[in-house]
Amino acid sequence: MNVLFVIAGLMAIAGVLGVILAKPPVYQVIATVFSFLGLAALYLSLQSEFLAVIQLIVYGGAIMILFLFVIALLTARRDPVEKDLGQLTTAKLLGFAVGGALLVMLAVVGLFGGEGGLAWAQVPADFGQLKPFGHELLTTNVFPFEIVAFVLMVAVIGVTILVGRHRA
Amino acid sequence: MPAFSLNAYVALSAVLFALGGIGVLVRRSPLAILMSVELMLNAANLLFVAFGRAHGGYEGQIMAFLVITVAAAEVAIGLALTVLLFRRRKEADVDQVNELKL
Amino acid sequence: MDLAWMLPAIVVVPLLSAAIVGYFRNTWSKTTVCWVACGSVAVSFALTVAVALQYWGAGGAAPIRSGLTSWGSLLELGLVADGLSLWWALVVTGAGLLIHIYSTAYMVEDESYGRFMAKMNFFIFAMTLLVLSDNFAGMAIGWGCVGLASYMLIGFYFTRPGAQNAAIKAFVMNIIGEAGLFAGIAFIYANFGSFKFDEVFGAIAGGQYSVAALNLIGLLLLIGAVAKSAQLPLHTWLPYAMEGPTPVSALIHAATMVTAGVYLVSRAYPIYEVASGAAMTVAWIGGLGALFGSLVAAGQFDIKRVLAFSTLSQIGYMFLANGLGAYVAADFHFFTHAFFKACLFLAAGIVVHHYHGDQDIRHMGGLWYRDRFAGITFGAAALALIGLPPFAGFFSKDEILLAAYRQGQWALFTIAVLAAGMTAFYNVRLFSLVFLGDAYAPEAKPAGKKRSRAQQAAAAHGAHAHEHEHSTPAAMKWTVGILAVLSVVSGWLFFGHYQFTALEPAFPTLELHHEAINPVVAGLAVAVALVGGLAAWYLYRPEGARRAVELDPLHKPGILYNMFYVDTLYDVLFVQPARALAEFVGDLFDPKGIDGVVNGLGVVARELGDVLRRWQNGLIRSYALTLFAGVLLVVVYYVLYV
Repeated sequence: MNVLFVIAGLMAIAGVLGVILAKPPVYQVIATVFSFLGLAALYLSLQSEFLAVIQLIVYGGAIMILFLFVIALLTARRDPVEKDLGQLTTAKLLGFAVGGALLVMLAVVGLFGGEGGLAWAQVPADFGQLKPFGHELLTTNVFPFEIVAFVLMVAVIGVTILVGRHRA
Repeated sequence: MPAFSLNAYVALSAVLFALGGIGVLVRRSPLAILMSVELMLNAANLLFVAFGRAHGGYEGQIMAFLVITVAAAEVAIGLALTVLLFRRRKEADVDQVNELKL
Repeated sequence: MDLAWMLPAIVVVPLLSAAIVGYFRNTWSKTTVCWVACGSVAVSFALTVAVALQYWGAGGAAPIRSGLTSWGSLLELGLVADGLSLWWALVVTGAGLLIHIYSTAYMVEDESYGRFMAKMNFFIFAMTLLVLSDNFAGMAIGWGCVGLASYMLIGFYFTRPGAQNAAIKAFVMNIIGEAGLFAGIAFIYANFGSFKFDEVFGAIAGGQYSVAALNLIGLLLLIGAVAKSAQLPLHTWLPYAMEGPTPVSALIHAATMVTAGVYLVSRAYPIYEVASGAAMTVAWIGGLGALFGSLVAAGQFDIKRVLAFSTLSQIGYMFLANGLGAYVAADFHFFTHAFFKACLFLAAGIVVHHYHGDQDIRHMGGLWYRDRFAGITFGAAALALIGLPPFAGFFSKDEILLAAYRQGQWALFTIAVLAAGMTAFYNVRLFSLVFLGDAYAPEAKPAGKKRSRAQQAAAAHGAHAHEHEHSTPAAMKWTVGILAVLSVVSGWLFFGHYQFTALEPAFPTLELHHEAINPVVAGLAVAVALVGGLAAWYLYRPEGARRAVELDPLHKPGILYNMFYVDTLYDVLFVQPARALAEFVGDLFDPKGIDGVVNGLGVVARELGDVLRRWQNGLIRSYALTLFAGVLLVVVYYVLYV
């Protein structure tokens, strides 16, 4: 199991790095998907099977497709490459600096914190399965569930208003 | 029982979050920025699930579920805005969109 | 009949009148103003007389007291009418009344008539408060108020820079005196725990004092007295105070305010009886002042300046007497001096009226033949000042000389006698230059050039016009006349020793000598005066040699005219450095230093704003950077401190 965790972790990190470093947007999308795969594996290691599947379907299957469609829409005629990609501007330098510092800090916190000594709790065998998950979602947490549904509807309407062409 | 300690998950989540942040700061295309934001959200999700597992309840997973959903909605809107931006200017450079200031 | 209510009325009525006249000065006519103003002083005078009659009618046994106001137990101001305060109050209100009446005519052409009357009333209030107070604090309040009144009245013609400067000079020098005065009063309180005269003097009589402390107090009070009475070395403000209108000079700078120092020393006599060092200082300051004043007066060309230095000299005599313990002599001389000096000033006012405000005696002459009245009154008062019998000044000055003689103070005695001689000298000089000889005829062109007949006629006419025939108003004539008569007769109180009976109750612990006239001293004084007068006559008679010299327009005045250069000395020592400091602060330190700092703050804020403004650049990434940086800071905080 350890090896799998390490590989999954590396996949996730590699994906993010790919987003930062790759030039063409499609490569970035692929890198993102790669990262999602790694994350799904990590969920599995945490006994959250349902969530892993949801992650792959929704994120990888819907959101990234959406990205690809937009890329196709916008860059139909030319090669979308950002300007001054390789140059190290002040903004980039600052970005790397702050981000790097944040990374270090958080990693330190993560690795060496936790005096509470939180240990893994004992869970029943069907932890993370569809049925108990669904039960929790639709009884204890039904209110947020409904609200999120509402949010989705708002998003759809919003997108339609924003981008839908109005023909007379 | 997961093989590694909780700390490992927390550290990994932190790294993913920070790297996503770097992505937000460094790239100029709005698409890249949105993708980086997604990756940051994923890092947060990982943290939620890990701690939820540690406590033995479902709250972490449910929270991650809700986050995924909202992220989907947000991406939709973000992409719509990017499309609008591209229509107006024929190129997408976040640094050109600088009218939101005093 | 309980007359105690009259005391506050004496003080308050002029104050109310000052306020009312001041408020209505532009709406009321001049007649109304003068009736109200003079009326209030007349009321004060009448009340003073009434109280005096009651007091002295009862043999001066019990002083009449009344409370004025109180401020907790710390400060209880009250008024007392005993021999000394009534003596002074009578002179203040009486001479004040006469001078007010004089001013109604003298100032009638002035636009600010109402303002003048209001301020004069205010002065009467302040001076009566000063002399009628029964404690040091009230007296100090009155002291400050008379200083204020003096400032307002010296600078009455406030459009003239000379007047403004003179007023400031007087006020500043008096502040020096007030510093000493207040320090002395503070020490009194520290030593005796009270401001009231009765309690303080009672404690001294009971023996609870230290001689050193009393000497210190005496000297500090003396500083105040010296400044207020324009004695050496704080005298330089007095000649410049003559910039004020003549009635002001008469009332404030001759008869009453400048004598406040004399009152102070007389009132605080128990202190000076014990503190012999301070007392001798008083005497010497007085003696030297007497001589100094009379010398400088002989070199002045402004008629009012001569009289100013004469006042300095005569008050020197009063200080001399006070210092030697002859308080009654000092107060008696104050009494006679008030009348003849006020008469001299007011008569000088008539003279100056003739010459349209020109006060230079070199431009006068021969006035005796044109205004006999002025000549007679001026002459009578001058003779009183010189101290010839039977005029008033003789009796009072004689007492002072006698005191020095009796105590064997030969140095002081000699100085006083010499001063008497010089007094005669400058008085004869003044009278001769103003009233005798030929009228002043300015030469328009140097002699030698033939002048056309028209020019000659014009020159003669100009000379005539210079002494414009002006009939003197009745108010002025009557008041001057009354004062002249008083100059003659007020000395005759001596014959009944009335001054003693009047003043004695105020000096309960002293044994006062009722002197007869000592022929040696009196004769010597008269002789010296005659010598001085004849010397002056020889030099300044119409054909006199010195007269021609001084009347020559090209004559450069010497040391006497320049007041022994004391004024110049003070200027160099004090005024120039102060001015330099003021200029430094005003031109350098304030604009560059303080303004620099304040403006600098503004500049800093602006520059900072300029820098920070660039942060709002509308770029998403920069905002994101800020956001992340903030998160980073929070994480750092948690890592380090939690």
